[in-house]
Amino acid sequence: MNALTTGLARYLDETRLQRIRQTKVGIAGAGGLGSNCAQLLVRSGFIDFVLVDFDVLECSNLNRQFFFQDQIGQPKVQGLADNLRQINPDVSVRMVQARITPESVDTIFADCGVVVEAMDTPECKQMLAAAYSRSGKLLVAASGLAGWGDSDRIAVHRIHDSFYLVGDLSSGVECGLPPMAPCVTIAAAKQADIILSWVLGDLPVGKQGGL
Amino acid sequence: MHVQINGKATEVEPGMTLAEFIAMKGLKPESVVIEHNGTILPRERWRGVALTSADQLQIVSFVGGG
Repeated sequence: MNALTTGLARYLDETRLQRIRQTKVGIAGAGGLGSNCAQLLVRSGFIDFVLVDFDVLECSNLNRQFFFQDQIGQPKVQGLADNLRQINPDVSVRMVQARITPESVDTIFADCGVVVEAMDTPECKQMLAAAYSRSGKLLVAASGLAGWGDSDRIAVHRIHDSFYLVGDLSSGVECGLPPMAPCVTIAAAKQADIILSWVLGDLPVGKQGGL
Repeated sequence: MHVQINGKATEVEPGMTLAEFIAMKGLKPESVVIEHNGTILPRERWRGVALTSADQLQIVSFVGGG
């Protein structure tokens, strides 16, 4: 037991902790959504991850992503794996520093029970959602989390029993709204909470909808 | 004619295809995922599917940011 697992045992019984530990989570994108969602999952007891991101850390990421100044220039998957192990040294990460393509999307998370869509562009989000909706895995995607204010707009939408979508569905960065830490982190936190609820058997949550 | 879209009865012109419906809504096809009666329908097939009143659709249109 390390300090985190000792602490967690105060809040969750062994049956629940075991269910959490045994769930492998695939995260597509280690940016504002993916890095923050991963952090919250690790704090909740998750230890098994597949992280996919082609990018390296830039100055413009620090406003909202779970990284630090001395990691600028590092691959995000490496930096995030290091940061997650600072929270729990037992975390195991398969790092994939690559773009997800139409050729790789179907197989990249084959061994995961949960897939987090945490990518930037609508086209990439679409590709991942089309591949993993009805895949038998839990898919948790996000759309509409840019800007600030009226943060209750960032809602949980249940598309079907294994596909959840977090966001206001309309505030995209292409509307000129910058991605800022509070709303991006709220969306990431809601993604993490859906996963935790699913693993602990407390779904369905959220309202139905999607357009 | 009414079609169930995202759990809501939505008025649709009889004979309208999925591709026409997405265009009418002003959505970008490359940002949209459509589930037609519980099956994900690839974009290439939208032009060949005419909507009927028995159809259940889930339509998700993504915006950017992450």
